[in-house]
Amino acid sequence: MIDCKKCLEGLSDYIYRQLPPQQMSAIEAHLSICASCQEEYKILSYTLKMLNKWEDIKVEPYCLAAIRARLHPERQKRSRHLPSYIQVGVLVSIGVIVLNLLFGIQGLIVPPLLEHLPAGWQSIQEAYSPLLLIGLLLSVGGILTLFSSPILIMKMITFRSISTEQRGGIPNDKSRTKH
Amino acid sequence: MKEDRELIALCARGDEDAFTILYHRYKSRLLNYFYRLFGNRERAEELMQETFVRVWRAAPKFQGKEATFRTWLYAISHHLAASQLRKRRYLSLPLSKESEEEHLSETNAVPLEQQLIKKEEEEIVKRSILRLPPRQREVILLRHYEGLTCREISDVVGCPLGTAKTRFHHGIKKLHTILKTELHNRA
Repeated sequence: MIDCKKCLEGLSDYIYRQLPPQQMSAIEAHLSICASCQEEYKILSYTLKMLNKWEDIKVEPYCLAAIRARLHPERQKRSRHLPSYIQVGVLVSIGVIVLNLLFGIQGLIVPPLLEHLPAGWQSIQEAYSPLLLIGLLLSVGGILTLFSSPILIMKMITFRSISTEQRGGIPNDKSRTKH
Repeated sequence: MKEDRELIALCARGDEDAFTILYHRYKSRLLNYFYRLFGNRERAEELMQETFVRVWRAAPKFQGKEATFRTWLYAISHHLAASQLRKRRYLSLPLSKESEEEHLSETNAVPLEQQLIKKEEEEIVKRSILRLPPRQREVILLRHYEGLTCREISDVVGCPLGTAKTRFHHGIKKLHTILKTELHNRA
């Protein structure tokens, strides 16, 4: 025969039927003779019965799609970056800006440089003229702009539309409205 | 039917179909666990999603010999819930009304009066559970709704077996008192 302490310890296991048959019978036998343990048993079984009144809620189908969208962070990270051809376009545009800047300040930096040229490089000094350098910079910048700008704009448009399609159908955690 | 252990091993190798099976197996339990812990559907959905994402990422680290998948899953859920409870801002949120309306319309085969009584009782239980201290509430939820043993709860929560038992016992006592008061007030 078990005492009250042992009985109370195993009471919840008894109710959930998580005890070996021998212990189940021992608690049952104790409960049949002990009024205070019986009271505890009533309180416990009543409270647990009340808990069953809180019914389950259903899982919405969009949850799986939202989880799947987050399973591969490396893919998401990659898709957030611009494609390589856009990156090249951006670099070309930066090149054009640098060339234009050089065009603006060439009068300040080229003559002092020419003065300090080594003895064997005198032919460059003789061939240099500001107009020739301006022409060269403008030509290179113009050619780069001519080729890069239309490609850049077109690819930007394509990239935006692809990204929108990829996002479609997968709700964003933060932007999702109440269902 | 494949066991959880086999499925999580497949997940570790990047098998999304195995992950989907696990998701369907545990989605309802997890959602309702978080819902009953916080009393808020949106929060419960966010936490359930976060749990599954973490399961996917941590799948290669799962040690099948030391823990069952179920206790491992609830341990992840417990850590997430604990960090939310530390913020304490979701504790006092009221239960979302939409789930109540949804529930009433779903069970319209039952007479309206009975539905309302049932609904009222459910509301009392909800309010009473949410008034429990979070630690006791969590242990009761894991024990009663998720069917974990006290030993499993102690593994999930990371406390001694005796502490898990005490939390359950004290929680039930407190819940009984709250329920009695609530029902008395209703009468």
